[in-house]
This record gives sequence, structure tokens and C-alpha cells, in this order.
Amino acid sequence: MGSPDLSVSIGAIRMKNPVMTASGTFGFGREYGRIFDISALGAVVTKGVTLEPRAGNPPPRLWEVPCGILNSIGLQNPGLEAFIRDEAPRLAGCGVPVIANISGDTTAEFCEIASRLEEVPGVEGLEINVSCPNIHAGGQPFASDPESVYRVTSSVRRATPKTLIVKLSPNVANIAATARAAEMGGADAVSCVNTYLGMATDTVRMRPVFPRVFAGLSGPAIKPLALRAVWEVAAAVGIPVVGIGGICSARDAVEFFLAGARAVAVGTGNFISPTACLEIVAGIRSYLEERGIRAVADLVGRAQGAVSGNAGGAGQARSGCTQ
Amino acid sequence: MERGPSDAAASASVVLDNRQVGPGCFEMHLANEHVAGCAAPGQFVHVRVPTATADPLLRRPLSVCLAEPSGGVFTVLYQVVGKGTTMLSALRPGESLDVLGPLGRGFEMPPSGGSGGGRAGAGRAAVVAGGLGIAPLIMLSHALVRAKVGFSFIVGARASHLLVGLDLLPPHEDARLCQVHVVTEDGSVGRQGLVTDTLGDLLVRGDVTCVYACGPAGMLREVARLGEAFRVPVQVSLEQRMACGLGACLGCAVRARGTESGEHPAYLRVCADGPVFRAEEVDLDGIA
Repeated sequence: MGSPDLSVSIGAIRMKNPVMTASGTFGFGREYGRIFDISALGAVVTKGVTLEPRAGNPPPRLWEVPCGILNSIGLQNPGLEAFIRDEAPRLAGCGVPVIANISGDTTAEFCEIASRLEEVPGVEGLEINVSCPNIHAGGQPFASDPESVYRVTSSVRRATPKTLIVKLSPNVANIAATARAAEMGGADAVSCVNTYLGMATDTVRMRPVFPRVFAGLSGPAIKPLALRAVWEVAAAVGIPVVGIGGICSARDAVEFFLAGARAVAVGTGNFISPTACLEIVAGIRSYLEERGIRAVADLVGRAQGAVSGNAGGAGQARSGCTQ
Repeated sequence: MERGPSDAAASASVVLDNRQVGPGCFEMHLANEHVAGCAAPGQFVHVRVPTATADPLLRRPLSVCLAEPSGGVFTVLYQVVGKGTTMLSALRPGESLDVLGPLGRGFEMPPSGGSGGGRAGAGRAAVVAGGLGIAPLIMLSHALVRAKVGFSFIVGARASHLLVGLDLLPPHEDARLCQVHVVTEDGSVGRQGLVTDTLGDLLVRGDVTCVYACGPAGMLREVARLGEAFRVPVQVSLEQRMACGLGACLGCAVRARGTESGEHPAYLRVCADGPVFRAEEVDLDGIA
């Protein structure tokens, strides 16, 4: 047997391996590019880009908790124009598919960003962030219900022919319903999940740690929660699922594949080991080799098939449907 | 500043020595040719706490306190404040530590004093260390001595037993080059008072041309205020909770000063834009 096939496709994006970076943890690839050759990645998902520059939230922005981090960065980014001018041309030459994560306060903003990115070479896909918890007072995301996810997805779909991924918030009553709304809106894939809303209280000052009170929890602490979300979503939609949530090792990644993820994104794991993505790619290859499995695609959803009367299966009520 | 892929790498460092030098304060010597060879004064390393679990999760930033390129050894001074540093303090010689670095922007050196180093009238640097803030300033002091820049090293703590790292300062037999002022709040050793009292005296005397400082936020604010009052440039080394350490995650932000009113405040990254800043670059009122 030759070397196992690690390639996967997400929409029109052909990735040499199923490991990408999670938005907001990898900037625009500059910093990690000092440490390793980022062309070894399956894809780079950029820091969230908004129409106008954003300064971000006042510090503190980070708070470590057992096995996780709470963050309240607040979408600090240089804005679309600077992204197109300063980041996209360089990224286009890096030899890796680039997926721009985009964020807005209104559907119109998402559409404007998407159409302005249409002609930008090197940006092969868009990940729409309908779920960043830090941009509104009280942490209320822009689109937490299936109807608004459908609305923004279908509008952006009309604005761009590029591969469209919808990043789902786990802070909803029924994530499978929002995933189906994204699929029906024309998304090529969903990424699952963004951070879980949490908070921390400073017991010395007797006040919330974060000025915005709620913050996004990431890291190994959320892995079992994210895995369950991926399982439910993969059972509910036919489009590929990108698994995200505390993935720090190849074994973590394999768990997500078996639950139904076609690819994975590494976020907090990059902070612990800056070369985590490379280690995970190598580990996935070894996992497949050791078991004589031909392709990583053969792992996708395998654990779902192992469960009789699949609890999260496709037969589940589609009551959250938007149409 | 763009740098090549090789200048910040995660690599294993062997612990040569890790001993307690004060209450909760430890001095660790690590073998790492890369860090020892290229660390500049004010830079830091991002160390992974050796644990089989994901707790503690994040790396811990530690200032490089000394680096000996020839021996391939560098030194850190750290205080045990939580779970991560407690685990670091338990490391024994021969054990290995995953070190990323050197990272960040270090101190800008003043113009060299020339061969007659530190002669009267040429002006001197003032180096102000509060408590464990001495760590990055030790390496700076060695660099100042090598550059023959005369300086006054003002080091203070609440009490004598909290003064650490003094033995790591360069030998200062030449008082014109390096003059050490010890200050304690309780007067148990040296002058009684605050380091900023001594800095104020030196500034009044008028031969200080630049100031370097690291220590508690209140001390840094006062040093910056004095620098502004006496029109002497001040560089401060800051700390902030940090995740990636590389400038990617934007977690260690501090508010920039001098952004136009009405505009959104801009933020600087302690890990990549700092940890050393010119005092006028950052809003020191906003730091904890």
C-alpha cells in the first residue's frame, strides 16, 4: 500500500490534507510563517475581516481556565481594504488555499465584503462568521436562529461564486437546525463550532473579568461538546462539516472525522504548540498507515455508522427548518 | 519587522539548575544554544509547562534574564504565582522544557559611550527595577557595560529579603560605568523609600539621558511621569496575559497612547510590538 490519501475537498477547495487553521488563532499567516512553511497546511482560515477596521475590545482579552481559554478579542482587524491590499496578495503566494473569515453586523455588510472579495486572487473561499460572541453588548451573536442564518447565507451565496462555509455558533438551542438552514441557504460546508459563551469573575475586585462580561471558551475543555455538535450536524446535513473545538492532537482530529467531520481546524492548539497543525497531519497519516486505511475520507462519519438507531441521525425531526 | 523562519523556534531546553533565590522566586538555567545565541535584552521566551494534561494549557512568558552565547546557556528569573509556575519550580536538573523564542521587541540601546565610557558630562542611563522586574534589566545591564554606556541601576523591593537577582548584575568595580542603588520600602537594606524617589534625585541632578524600567504598573506610571517631566526618554517592559506569544492571536493587547480623539483606541501587542515600549507609545493608566 502506498502512502494514505489525506486529501479532502470542501466545496471547490481541494486540500492536500484535512487540517486547517481556525479563524482568529493564526492571524493572516505572517506570524506562524516565521515558524514553519504554511504551505504544509490543508488551508489557512484568516482572522475575521470586517468592512471597516476594528480596534477590538479593551484588555483583559484572555483568561485561562482549566483546559481552556476564555477570550474577548472583539474582532480586532485592519478592515477589508487593508486585508485586500496588505494580506491577500502575500497569502496568495504561499501555496496554500486561503479561506477568508468574514464578519458583519448586517446581511448587507456580509454581502458587500463577499462581492469585494470575489475578484481577489488567492482567496478561494469565505467562512462567514455569523456567530462571533464578542461584537455585541451582552455577547448576543448576529445570527443565532435558523431563519437569520438562512437569510445571511442565501444572500452571501448570491454575492459570491467562491466556496462558502458557514461557521456555526454552539450557543443555540438546536445547532442541527442552524446547520440545515445554512445548507438550504446554499453553503458549501459548515464549520462547527465557534467558541462557547462563558465568563469568569474576579474574586478580588468582585466583578466580571471581562468588560463585556461574556467571553468565548475554547480549547480542550470544549472538545466533548464540540464533538457532540459535529455529530449532530453531520447527521443533519449533506454538505461537509469542518470540525473545530479543542483539537490538539491527531487523535482529537480522528475523533472528529469519525463523528462526521470532513476536515478539522486547529485553533487554541496552535498556542500550545505552534507547529500543532503539522504534528496533527503527521499523526493522521500514521493512524491511517497503522490501520491500513487508504484515505482519510474513509474515516468520515464511521462512528455514526457504528451506532444502531443512530441517536443524532438523519431521521431526526427537522422542526428547525427555515422553509 | 519581518524575520526569517528560523529565529523563533520551539525547541527543547535542558534544565541545568533551578533554585529558589527568594520567597517564591526561582532562578533557572537552561541549555539552549538558539536562545542563548540570539536573545536580545528585553526579549522573552514562551515556555510550555511540562504536564501530561491540558492543564495548565497556555505557555508562560518569561523574560530572558541572561544569555551566554558561548556556553549556550540562558537564565530566567520567575515568581511562583499559580499552577504553571509551581510546576516550573519543580523541574530538576536534567529535565527538559519546551521553549519558544526568543520573542518580542527588546530594549533600544542608547548611543555608545565610547572608549572613555561613563565619563562625567557624557550622560548616563538610569535602569529602574521593581521586584522581579529586575529580570530583563539584568541582561540589559550587561549589554550597557559591553557598550561602555554608564548607568545607574536602581533596584527596589518592599524589603531586603525580596531583592533578587542582584548577584547576576555585571561586576561593577568601575563605579563610573555601573552604579547600583538599592532601595527598600521598609529600609531593611539600602535607602528607605521607592525606586522612583532615587530616580527623581538622579533626574534632578540632570545627567540622566534615558531611562529603562520594569516592575509593577504603579512604578512604571511614576517612572513615565518623571521621564515626561524631565524630558528624558523612557522605555518600559510590560507584562500581559498571553496566548500565542507570536503576535497572531491579539490576546495580549495594551491600549496605545496618542490615537486621535474620537477614533477607536488602537491596541498594541505586548508579545510582538513589545514587551518593551517607549513610554509614550502605551496607555500606562490602562495596565494592571
